[in-house]
Amino acid sequence: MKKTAVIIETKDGVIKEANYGMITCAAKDNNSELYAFIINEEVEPFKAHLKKHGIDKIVDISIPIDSDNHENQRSYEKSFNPILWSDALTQALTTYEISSLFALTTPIGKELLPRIAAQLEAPLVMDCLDVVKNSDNSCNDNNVCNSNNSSYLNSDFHLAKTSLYSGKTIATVKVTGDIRLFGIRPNAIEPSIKLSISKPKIENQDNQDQDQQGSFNIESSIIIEKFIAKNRYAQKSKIKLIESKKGDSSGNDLVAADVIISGGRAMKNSENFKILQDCADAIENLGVSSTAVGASRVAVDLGWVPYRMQVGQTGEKVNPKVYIACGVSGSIQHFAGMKMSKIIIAINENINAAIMSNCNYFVEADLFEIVPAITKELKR
Amino acid sequence: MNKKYDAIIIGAGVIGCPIAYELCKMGYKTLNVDKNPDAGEGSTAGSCAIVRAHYSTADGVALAYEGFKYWLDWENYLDNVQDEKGLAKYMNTGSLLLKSEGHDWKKVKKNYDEVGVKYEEWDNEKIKQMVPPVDLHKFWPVTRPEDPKFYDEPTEFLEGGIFCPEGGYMNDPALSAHNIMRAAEAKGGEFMFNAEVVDIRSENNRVVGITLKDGTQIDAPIVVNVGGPHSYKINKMAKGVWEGCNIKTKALRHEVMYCPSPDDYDYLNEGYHISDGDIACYARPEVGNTFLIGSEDPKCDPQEWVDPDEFYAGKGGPGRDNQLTEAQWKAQCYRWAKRIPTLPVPNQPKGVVDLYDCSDDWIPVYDKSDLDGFYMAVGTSGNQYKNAPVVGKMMAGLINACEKEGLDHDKTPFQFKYQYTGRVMNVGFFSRKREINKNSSFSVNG
Amino acid sequence: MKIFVCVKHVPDSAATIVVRDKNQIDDKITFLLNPYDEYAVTEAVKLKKNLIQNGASSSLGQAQQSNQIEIIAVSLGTSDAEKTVRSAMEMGADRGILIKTDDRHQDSITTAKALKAAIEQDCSNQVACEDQSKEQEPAIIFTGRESIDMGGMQTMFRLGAYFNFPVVNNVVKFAPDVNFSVNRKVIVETLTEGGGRDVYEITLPCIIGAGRGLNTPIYPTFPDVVKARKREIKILTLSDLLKGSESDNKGAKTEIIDLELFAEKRTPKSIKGNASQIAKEIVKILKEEAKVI
Repeated sequence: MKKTAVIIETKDGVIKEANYGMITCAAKDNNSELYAFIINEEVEPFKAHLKKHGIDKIVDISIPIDSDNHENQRSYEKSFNPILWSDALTQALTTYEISSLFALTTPIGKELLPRIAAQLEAPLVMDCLDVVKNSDNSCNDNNVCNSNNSSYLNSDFHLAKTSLYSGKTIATVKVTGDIRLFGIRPNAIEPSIKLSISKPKIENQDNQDQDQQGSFNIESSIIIEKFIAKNRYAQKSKIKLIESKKGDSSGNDLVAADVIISGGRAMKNSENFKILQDCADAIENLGVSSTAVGASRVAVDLGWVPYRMQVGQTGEKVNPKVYIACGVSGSIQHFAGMKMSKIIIAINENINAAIMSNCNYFVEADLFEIVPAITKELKR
Repeated sequence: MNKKYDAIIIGAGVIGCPIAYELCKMGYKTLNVDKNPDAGEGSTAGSCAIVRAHYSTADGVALAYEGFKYWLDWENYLDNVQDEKGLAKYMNTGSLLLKSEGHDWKKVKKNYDEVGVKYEEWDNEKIKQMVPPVDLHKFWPVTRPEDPKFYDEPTEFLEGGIFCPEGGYMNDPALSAHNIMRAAEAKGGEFMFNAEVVDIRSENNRVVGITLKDGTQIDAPIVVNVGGPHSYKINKMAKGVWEGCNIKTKALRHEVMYCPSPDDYDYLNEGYHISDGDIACYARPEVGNTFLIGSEDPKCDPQEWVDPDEFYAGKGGPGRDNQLTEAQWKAQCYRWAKRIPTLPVPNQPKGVVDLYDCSDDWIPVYDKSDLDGFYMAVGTSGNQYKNAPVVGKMMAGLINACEKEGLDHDKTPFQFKYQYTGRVMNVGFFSRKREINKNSSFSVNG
Repeated sequence: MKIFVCVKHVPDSAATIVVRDKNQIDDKITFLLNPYDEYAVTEAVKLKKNLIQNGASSSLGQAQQSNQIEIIAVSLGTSDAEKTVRSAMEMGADRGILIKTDDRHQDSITTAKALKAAIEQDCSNQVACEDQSKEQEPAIIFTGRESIDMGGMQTMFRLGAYFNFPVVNNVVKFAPDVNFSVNRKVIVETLTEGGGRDVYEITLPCIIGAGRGLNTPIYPTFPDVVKARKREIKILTLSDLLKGSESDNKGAKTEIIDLELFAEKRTPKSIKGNASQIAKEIVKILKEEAKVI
């Protein structure tokens, strides 16, 4: 029986929504047992939700502060430490004989996955839009499945879809290796409920549920395993995390933003850009995306905003998931900077502005009414 | 029933709009049709919008010097029209022409004297004082960075320059066209956008109207071709027009680079428009403390003649499409970096690629045609933005003289009096029938 | 002391991508030094300047100290990647190494192995100078946080595992410790969730993945370009360098088997109603279609 694991990301004791899409992807393999790796959290409250989406077993990982005497150990590393966490996850992966590992491509995932991949010399594809198995169960034309007879080292996840070349192409990547790692783009996959009628056949289980009806007693049929990792960095480490500072999200990077709100000539002055920043902040506070405020050349020429906020042929070229253009006419020069945006929403009083026929959604209205309304709606 | 106008102007760029404006002022009912969504969105938008007077012919200098006065008096020129987008602004930086083997600057000086253009002669010391980061070595002849000679140590110096206090640039060329459109509308002019002309209809050697791509037919006894880089295609639509021109036009691809100024030099506020024939570059300031670096088309640079429709659709491949090339980025920026040795050149090309509507001798064709009622203001060759308001008046005058006053312009060319300088321009100078003008610089210098 | 900077020759983010032969791109477009690598080179140059200025304890003069600290740009790429190595040298690297290969797509495991082999080889070739004993390992390796073409975000970690050096990525602040000359420590900040920072104390040798904002890249002037023309780029070949080690990891790799252009065709849809209705609709789009909230 093959084993797949997902690294669950939590915030303030709650599982982030984006995890469920990732679990759905990982749960696609019906021939594999699906593990959830969770570090330093109370896992009981998570059981029902995780089971509903396809998790068979939760591995509750803790990392002792001291490397010795971990049976008597009571103090554990509480906060996120990429070095300790990635090492603990590598240990868990090996212990539970995992052949496919999933995590989210988030700041945390970007710290954990490559470290684990490097330690195991295993292939890793980041920012996956989807991951699929072989189309059938037989070995592929490279006979990778036969490379080792142990059923442990035989994963079917081997094709990943990801975005390459600054978002301009979608690539299919073939992954070869005994252990394979995948970083899923948050929200790329629609989460779905997985109903398991039959229970997974697992050896060496101590607390197997006695309910033979199966699917209705969801909570009790998920197994929790406690795993205490070895802390191999406690002494004489060449790298020490000495402080974690929380940030404010102002002044975000245009080039890296998921959502950009831009202002053009209709903004009228510098102060009005605050309306856009408020909206950007409201989006960012919902926790999933990074946002930034941009501007068209006119706003920069007129001195309302600094040049670093200019989007366009002679400014920044951006590639966000959503581009909200407020009072921007959408000249060809501006388009050259944002045409790679996935979804363009244009808000403009002039229905004939070029952008209104080159977007996904257009709103013929006054941005000074619409943008604050959006901010208000987001805050509800 | 087709809609009917006194005149249809094909193109609503910086030349098409003033022609409409001036005709409207004379009482004509005009319609501009443009295939882009707004005024000035074609090659006008890619223009460096430089206003300067150093041309290789006295007539060229005179036209530019006259035009300059219009930009200075912008609000009045527009008859104080309101534009919801605001008004474009003229930035008078002054214009410095370095004396080099790349320019026949002695001819320019002679032309200045003839026309009465104000100028000062600066020696190297004075130039260094006014442009502190400059290096005045002689780098001639012009080469490309792929050529090892490009890196040869210079041994001689240039001999100073000619400074015109009157010169600079318009900060937003597309907006300037838009402003003129609003001024024309205030006088009754109409504009139609996203309207592509596919046919020019005529009867008995007289133009009768146009047909748009969607089948709409619009009638007028006067049609003016101001189609920019597309102008040759439009001339070919009209019976006998293309054949009747001795000077032809075609679209030439051009790259303009945006390179940041050294930190310690406030080029935006203290810099001049500089024309540097020694390295075949010109530059003017741009927002972001940037040098906008254009090329004066040296012989060692490839010339790409392209189909404008393919170009604007992004087709043609590297070097022929509307994307900057690394080779030309390095060529123009490194040439300029020799002149300004502290200029930091980023790795990523940044700038604008657009087209010149180039005539055989880089001098425009402002003329009637062999088809009655069909006129053209074409072949602007990348050097006529600055003359746009004057050309508008001149073309309107020419059209009116031919249509209403029975002038046979080919036989007795229209004489146009400049309202500011008082000089009289023989418009036959711009005739479609002329022989190639050997005095031309055959470059963007005009 | 040897400071290595790993650089990559990548397509300009503004370039038009055309797919040919199912999984290749048309390469007649602008290629340049990966933008994140610019921060890496600039930081290496800053560090070298810093160490020379603060080398007051050394008896050597500044020029001699400058000779003792070398910045070497290393790249795995096709032959045109030489331009990018030259770019790094124009920005301040003293020497360059190009590991030549014919295949434009290289997976991360191979890349890390190649870089490791080249760096190791260069260090063991070190000529002992003055009173500096032979350094058999690099002091510090800078990379960019990711390449804009592949976005794998992992090669520096693999390099760290092969060398057994500590690695941090997405570094936005870097400084040698006050007692660097004695303890060989650097203090580093990485960018974390929501604009937060993690502060690390790292003992050299180590690997630093430069993030956006670590510094302002210092672009070359023409005199810099002229100087760099005279510096050396050593050319190695990938097959020679990795001879014998290919079968070590049992063929674990990633391979691009298909590339498709991501074409966005837009059919504009109108959102109507009063401000509140429109706002609701937009929030719905953000949530359900764009999935950004």
